[in-house]
Amino acid sequence: MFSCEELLDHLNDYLDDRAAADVRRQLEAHLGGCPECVVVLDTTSATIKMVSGCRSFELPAQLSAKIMAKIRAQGR
Amino acid sequence: MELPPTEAAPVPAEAALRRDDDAELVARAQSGDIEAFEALVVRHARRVYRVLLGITGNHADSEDGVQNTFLKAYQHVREFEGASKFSSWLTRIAANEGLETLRRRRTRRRESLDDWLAEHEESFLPRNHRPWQKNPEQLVADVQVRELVEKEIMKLPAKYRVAVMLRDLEQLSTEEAATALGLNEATLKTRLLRGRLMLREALAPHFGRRRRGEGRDV
Repeated sequence: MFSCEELLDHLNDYLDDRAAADVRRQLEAHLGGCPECVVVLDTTSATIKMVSGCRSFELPAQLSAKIMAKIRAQGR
Repeated sequence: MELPPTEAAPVPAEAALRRDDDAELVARAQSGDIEAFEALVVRHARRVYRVLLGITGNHADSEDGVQNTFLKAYQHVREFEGASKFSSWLTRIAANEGLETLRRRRTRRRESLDDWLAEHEESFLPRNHRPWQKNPEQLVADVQVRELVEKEIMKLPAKYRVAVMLRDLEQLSTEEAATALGLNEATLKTRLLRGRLMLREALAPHFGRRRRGEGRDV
């Protein structure tokens, strides 16, 4: 069974659903007895969902138009 | 100009076989159709902007970088032979542009590029172990939450910020993100983990379940 630090080593693969079956089994065995790691797993997963769902850092208005104006000016 | 080694680098068979949705527009742009190139700008400008913001952490530098990236792409589009996806080629140009911005800043903020190039990643252990009070689906609809997430992402060191932005915001695969940034996948994964954990730690005080007598959350 993994330690807390070993769980962190595999956290990304687990969250991205890319952990090997044996790793997944050991990680879930650790989670069964470690409420602190359950919180880390749940809140890291929530963090990822918030980043992907927030539609942050949208393109500034008119930037595409500025790019094309430069390209057209250069092409002349 | 430093261009991505798209055509020289070995291309994984899976990537080579993947259909490129941009192929038709690219072919038209290569034959001089400026409207086709404009369609590529509209399609990819947001990703390019996020790559640059992730690396430079500065909105004005990123806007300049987006313009330079597309100018370079336009000048060199005929050299693109399709060994990778066009979006990967473009993302790599953007990443090089962002790193060039860091190099130019060296005299005033030397740590930025040195930190990026450092191979050793220190470990980062979570400190906050309090469960959160709401689920993310409830939180993402809130404008205040989006602003908070943006603010905390921008506080991350560049190498962690860009890993989080490319993987979790732009939804690139680990392979795509690593290739764009010129990193091996193991380094990208290490930086992504640290970025995710640091961001979680920064957000935790806002979303953790309150204990009696504590103030409101976001």
